[in-house]
Amino acid sequence: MSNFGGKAAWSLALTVVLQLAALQAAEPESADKAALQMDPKGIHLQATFTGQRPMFACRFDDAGEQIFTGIEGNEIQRWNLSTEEHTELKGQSSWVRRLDYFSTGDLLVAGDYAGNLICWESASSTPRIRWELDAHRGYVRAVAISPDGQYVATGGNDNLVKIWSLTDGLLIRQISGHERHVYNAAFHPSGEWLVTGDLTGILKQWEVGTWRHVRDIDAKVLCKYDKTFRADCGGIRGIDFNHDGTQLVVCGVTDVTNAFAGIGTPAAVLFDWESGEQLKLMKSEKAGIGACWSVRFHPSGEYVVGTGGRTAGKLWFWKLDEEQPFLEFALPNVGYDIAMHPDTYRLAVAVYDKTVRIYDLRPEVKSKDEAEKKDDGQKKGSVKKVEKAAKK
Amino acid sequence: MRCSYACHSDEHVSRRSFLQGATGGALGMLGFGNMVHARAAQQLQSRHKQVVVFFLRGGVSQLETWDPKPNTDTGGPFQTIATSAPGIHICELLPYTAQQMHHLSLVRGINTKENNHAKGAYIMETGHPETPGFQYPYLGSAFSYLLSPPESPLPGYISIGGGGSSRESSFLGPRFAPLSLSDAKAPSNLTLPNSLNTEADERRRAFRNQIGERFAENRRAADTEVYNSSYSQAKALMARRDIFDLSGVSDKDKERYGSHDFGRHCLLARNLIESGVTFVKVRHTNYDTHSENFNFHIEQLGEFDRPFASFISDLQDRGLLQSTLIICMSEFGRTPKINARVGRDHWGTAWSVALGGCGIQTGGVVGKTNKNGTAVVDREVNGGHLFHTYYRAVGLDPTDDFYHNGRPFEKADPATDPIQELLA
Repeated sequence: MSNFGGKAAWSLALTVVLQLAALQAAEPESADKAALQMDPKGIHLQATFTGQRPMFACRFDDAGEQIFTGIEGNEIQRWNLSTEEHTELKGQSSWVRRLDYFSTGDLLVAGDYAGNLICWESASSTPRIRWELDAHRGYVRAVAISPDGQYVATGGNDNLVKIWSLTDGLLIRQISGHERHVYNAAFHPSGEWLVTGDLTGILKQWEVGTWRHVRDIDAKVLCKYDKTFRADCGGIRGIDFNHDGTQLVVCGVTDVTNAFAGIGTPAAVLFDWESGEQLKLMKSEKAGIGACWSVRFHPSGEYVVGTGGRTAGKLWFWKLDEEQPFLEFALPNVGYDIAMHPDTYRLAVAVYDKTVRIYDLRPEVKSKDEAEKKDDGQKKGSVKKVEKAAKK
Repeated sequence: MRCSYACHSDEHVSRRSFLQGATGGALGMLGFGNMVHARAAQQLQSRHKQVVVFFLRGGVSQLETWDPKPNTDTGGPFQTIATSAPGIHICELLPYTAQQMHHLSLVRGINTKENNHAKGAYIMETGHPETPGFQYPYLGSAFSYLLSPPESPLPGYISIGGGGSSRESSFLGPRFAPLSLSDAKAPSNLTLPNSLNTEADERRRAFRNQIGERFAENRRAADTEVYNSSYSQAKALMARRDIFDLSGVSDKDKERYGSHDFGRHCLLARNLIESGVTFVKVRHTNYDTHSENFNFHIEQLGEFDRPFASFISDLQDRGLLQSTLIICMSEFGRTPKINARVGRDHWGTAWSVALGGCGIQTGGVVGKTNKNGTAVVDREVNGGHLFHTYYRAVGLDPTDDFYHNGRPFEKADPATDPIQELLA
């Protein structure tokens, strides 16, 4: 499930489109408001939830009431956005890098670096494990739930893709084909296809049900063999489909100059799904600042947003026909995952500074009191400067 | 630093004449008479000891190898695995090595206080911190000098996989510098060119010797001597070029060692040790994982593990392990703290090496770090302690001195001593 859940994603996207159309037809003023919802230039921090360890993965539930995070530790963290209630889901055996969520039954599936896959019934005050299994030899790097909630696809360091029943965790199919670690997976919104991507930037399309290999898509620009260090650096760090499944975006690092210092340029590659043709290679404005660890289409389909960095963290907003971001937003540390909130105007970022941060993409609206306080503060500041200057 | 025995200083006439006692008189006059005989006897006893160093360049993480700390804030994502040595657990990234741990021991309390690549490597390969204006011989050169059979046609020190500098031998002279092989291939020109038959080659050599001897009569220097000896060594090596030949390696061994460079380098090292080369260094690069430490350790240790374990197993099967000291080292370890790039940085404060084979009490652990690996809490040692231990393990006295321009230089730091618990 690419953004926030299969059928739910379809219906939500449809709702967004219909609402936009209705707003545009009905009253221009409301249409402007809707357009503002899609323009992230007003992005501002709405909430911060702080844990004990750096955060690597995040997902909202379908109601958008709770945020789940995978961390550099053996737990999953859950926060209620309204009450800020915090719950630990203990049971993983290593770091959790990938999560996915399905609305029916509030199922959260998490893969960890010890090779375990756990399906959590996540809604209750004390979430319980529905099933758990030893999924891969080495890391589980990829977890994706099919839009109909029938399958869970996983990928790992054993170079395998595995298909499991979401209901009971039974293994349905084991798929070979990747020659290197499988970094990511995503189901097409139609539910007909699965795409998996590996360390070398090779994307493989599989037919859901038969699980036959359909084609490879080349995203090797996101991998480089570093001769000095004698290792491949790269991989499909993030993956997402747009709401109607006409486009696919993946992300990672390109133009690597020093693999072991992490010096490369964050990049996302946009593909036309039908033809498999690369439409755009989108990079950060500045080169050599790390990797893009996660990428998402905004449900409007107007732009994609990525996060990553090296020593400093960023959010990059790319229009689909431009190579450079139209907006870069500084994070307090490196971002490792993005989740879009079902309301479409908020997003969460899992950040290495042990926080998951909720950002509102709309311009910040301050109350009259707040605005006055700010004005007053600015005036006082100005006065102080004048006084200091006078004393000098 | 140049070797200066050109001046006819007695202590450096040559290692061969030194062993034959030619320097006894001179050193006896200096009051070292007893030491000379003891040293000569000791060296004769140690003559057939061999050493292999696996140097994991860039600084391998102790937490992803010999001293894992799972489920701690510094431990990383990996689990531990049991080994063939009861009670010893190592990182899951070394499953084949784990099966050979009864042939190895771990030193988990190293604190070299050095986080610089070059300086850290210097400490680990010479046993001393860098000293301005002076260079101690590297371990390979020192053991080549002290352990190689005098009449051996083989180089005493071969470095495989890059690195290896003529400076390593320092005042011991270029004869004990490493023969560096960047790949698992023989040095070039080990066969006569087609235009030259054996008879013509012998005539050519005889003429060169005649001219060379005349030249050396009044110009003898370490460099000229090693220049001349390099011809006879080259001739001997041409006759023994089989030691570089991996064509006879079985398919099974190729599978065990792998088709990558490091696997071939280990196979070559096995050949060289079997053939009698005294000191072999195999370098594996690169572990300088400031970014994505865990991904890269999966890659690098995935390549390292099986060939290393196969090498130990094969030496054991061939009866060579009891006379061959195995050292697996780096220039330092890596920080327990994981940085924002999911990397680990340089860390000389609390890290580990593995030792095995000749003279080593195997299947044990010496030293201990705290719960999350940020400090040594028991049996802290440094490069000096390790050098004392290496010397003792191969039957040499580390308190003995080298002499350079008549001045003694300690082989191992006199402020330290051997790790006795490790010695068999």
